[in-house]
Amino acid sequence: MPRSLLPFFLLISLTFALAGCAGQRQMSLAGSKALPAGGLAMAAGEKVTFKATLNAGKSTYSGVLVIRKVSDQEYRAAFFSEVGMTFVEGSLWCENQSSQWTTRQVNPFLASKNTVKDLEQAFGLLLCPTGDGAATMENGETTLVFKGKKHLFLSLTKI
Amino acid sequence: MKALSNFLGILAFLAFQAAVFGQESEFRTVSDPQMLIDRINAANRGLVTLQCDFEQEKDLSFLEDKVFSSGRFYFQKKDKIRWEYVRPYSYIIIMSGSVIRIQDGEKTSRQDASASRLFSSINAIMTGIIDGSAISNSEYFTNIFLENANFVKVIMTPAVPGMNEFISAFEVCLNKKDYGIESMKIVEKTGDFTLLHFKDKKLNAEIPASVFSVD
Repeated sequence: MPRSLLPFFLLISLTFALAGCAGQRQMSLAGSKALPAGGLAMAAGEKVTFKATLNAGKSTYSGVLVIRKVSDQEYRAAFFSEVGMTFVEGSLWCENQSSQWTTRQVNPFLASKNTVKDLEQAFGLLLCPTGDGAATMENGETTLVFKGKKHLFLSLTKI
Repeated sequence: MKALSNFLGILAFLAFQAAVFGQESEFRTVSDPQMLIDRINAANRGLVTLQCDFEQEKDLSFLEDKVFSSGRFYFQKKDKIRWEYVRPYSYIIIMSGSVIRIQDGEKTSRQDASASRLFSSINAIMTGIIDGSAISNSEYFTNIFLENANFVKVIMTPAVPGMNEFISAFEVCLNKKDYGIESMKIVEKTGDFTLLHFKDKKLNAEIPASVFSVD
């Protein structure tokens, strides 16, 4: 008898969505030593890929962070779960000690304004550090401090 | 090391293209979808377990980049799944009933899928999928059935509030030989997609209970 796997791979596809969302809530932080204190130094055209865990407020996101520097001022970044579901994707424009993040896509299950704002700040601090924030190492974890308030923990391991 | 990684990435990409090329030629609309659904359902009844390897490609159009990963997949009827990523790093997702266990390196977490509206909706859909109704009715998906000489492609557009806000479609490719899965593509609203290619499938072999343990 021929056997179809279609229904079961539909189940798989739903698990993809499920796992992406589960990863937002209860993944614990992993150690990190990859983030330079002054932000990422990249050449135009260069790409870096990280295994990343971001704890922003009450939410935690685990997955893969890909960053490409497309010009001297512009970075493009995508953060998605291990199973491929995009958390957030957008571009960051850095100029004259300031940055402007433009979101291209955000998962609606992450779409609280505070969470999106935290992510914007994390990308800005990571790629275009200004006087408003700093990246430091603490207990094996990278700590992003924004405007004096320690509220973002970003763990990165280059892959 | 980086050169080796790049080389393996290119090999994986070429393997993907070779696999996908054979599935993409000259698809046309299935003339009798109900007959196809009946065949799929009939073929499905004998499946108890499945094990296979998988290769995953995440396409990022905005970054003009692709990210590859691979691993091992296990399924046991009716609701046990294990995704075991081995490249580029270890990451395991086990789903057993309503419990999800995620092992990220040495860190482990658990989640009750029934705790949220989204997860409850997905569980409801799963029930429909297990009994076959998700394929043949339009409650969860709007389905389009296509075929060519060797493959059937089912394009499933989610009709579930929430899911349809970030997923445009699931595209499932089955071979006509035994209606076994060849690939699955999850297309997001932006056009970015995740493509999974399955290989070395082993059907109805016994899987140790520990594989699906969420404790």
